[in-house]
Parts: sequence; C-alpha cells; structure tokens
Amino acid sequence: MTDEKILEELKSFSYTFGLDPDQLAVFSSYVELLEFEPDTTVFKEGDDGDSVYFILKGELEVSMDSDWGEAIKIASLNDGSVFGEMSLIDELPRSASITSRSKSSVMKLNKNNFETILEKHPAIGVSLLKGLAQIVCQRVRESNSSLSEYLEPI
Amino acid sequence: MGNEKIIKGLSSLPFFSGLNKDQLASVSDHIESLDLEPESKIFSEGDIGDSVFFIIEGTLEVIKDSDWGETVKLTTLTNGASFGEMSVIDNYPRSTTVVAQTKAWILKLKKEDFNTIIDNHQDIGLIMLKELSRFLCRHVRQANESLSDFLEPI
Repeated sequence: MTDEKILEELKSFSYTFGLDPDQLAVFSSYVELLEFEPDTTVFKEGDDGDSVYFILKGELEVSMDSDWGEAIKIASLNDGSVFGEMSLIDELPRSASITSRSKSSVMKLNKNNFETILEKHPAIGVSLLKGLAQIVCQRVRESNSSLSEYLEPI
Repeated sequence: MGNEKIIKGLSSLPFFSGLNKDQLASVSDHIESLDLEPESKIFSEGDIGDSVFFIIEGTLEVIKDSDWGETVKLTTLTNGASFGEMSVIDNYPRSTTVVAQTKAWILKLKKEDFNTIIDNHQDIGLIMLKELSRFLCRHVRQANESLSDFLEPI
C-alpha cells in the first residue's frame, strides 16, 4: 500500500482524533501497515507490548483467560476500532488477547513513534492523547456496566 | 503568577508530580480551592459533570443509589486521591454521589479550564493527558480483572 493509500484509509480516524489533513499526513508517516490472515493472533494476554492498533478493515476478537485457564470472548472489533492503547499508555502487559477472525488490515503505531510525535508535533500529540483518553473512558464505562450485571446487590 | 497556597496543594498530589514549579503555577491559575464542612455534597449521581477534583486533605465518601432506592457506600477517598476524571474527557452524567465525611480541602479543575491549559500550554497538556489516561487504564484493568471471573468460556 502506498502512503497515499494509507492516508486515504486513515481519514476514517480523523473523526476520533480530530486531525486535519496536514496532521493526518504527518501521522501516517509514523504508522506501519499490517495484513492478517484469518485466525492470526495479533498479541496474547500477558505479552509485553507497547503499540496501539487502528483497524482499517476486518473483524478481530478480544478474549481473556479466566482464572481457570479458559479463553473467554469479550468483544468483537471491526473497521474503525482501536485496540492496544492501554499498554501504549501505561506500559503494562496486554490485558487481553487479540485474534484476527477475517482477513484484516491494521495500522500499528509503536511507543517510540508515539513519543516522537508527542515531542516533535505536540499539537498532534494532544489530539492523539485526547482521542485515546476518550477511548479509555469508554472502556471504563463498558467494563463497569458489564461488571454491574454480575455483581450482587449490596 | 500563581497562587502559593494552591501551588503547594498541587505539588502534594501524585497526579501533578510530572510538572515543574512554573508549570504548577500556570495550572494554579485555573484551579478553584474549596473548603468543605462535613456532610457537604460535592456532586450527585445524575448531575452533568464538568470538573475533576483533587483531595489535599480530608475524607470523602462515594455513594450510589441502589435499584431499590437505598444509598450504598462504594468507597472512601482521602489525601492525594482524585475523582470525577472522566467528566473532563467525555460528557456523561455522574455515576455516583460524593459527600465530605470530615472537614476537607479539595481542588477543582473545570473541563473548560483543563482545555484552556491544554491549548495554551501543550507541554503541560501532554503531561496531564498522559497521567489522566494512565489513571483511566488502571480503572479498566481492575474492572476487567474482576469481570474475567464471571464470564463463560467461548
């Protein structure tokens, strides 16, 4: 895929991150394009990892291991979804596994490039961080809401 | 520049530990200092949230109405803790009520002031957004940890 093609695909993320076309062009020069075959593991729960991923096309599954070692499907992700942002932010191991269920194309931004963007392009950095914070807020609300279904009334 | 008392308060908070003296002074211009009497309410469940709060001194109680209309105590917050973080990132009603248990000194930062700081001081904005995101990630990881024990295998 050419850089122009990446740029075109990335426009779907401009809503989330509020980047203008020039900023998107800068951003696209820091990401890497990955293609996955069906049933490919992108990363596993507990792995060290420091990259955030943006799904351009495809269906991916989020799963976690229960305390007794079974894989539990948590969610499905598709075009426009973002995953892996927590390890980018807090540098802790992956909290869930991600498996590509279809053919998929995914954009990857690693920690080094993320930090370079923050340093060299702080305006883009602020927009990226705000967008990621919004995504994590959504995760807090989703997790709390799922959790409240399982908890006993006090 | 800056308010000495508020700067001193800010510098006692883990959330602001990444900021230097000048940056703390810039932030202090946007902070409101609140002295609370026991039993005074900071906000109520269902309120539209527009501020994040930091406890310098005192003990606060986080409570919630159950589906049966009883008030349930969720947790206690004390020196150094923050609450209401998500409301400076997204726009949802407060999910809990917070009440002072003792006399307390807390600092309040409004969403619009948070955004002004970010716009005027990108260096401070990046540090605060990173800290906020890390804090939110911790919430998600804790909730997911509890959640994985309740879910059925695939």
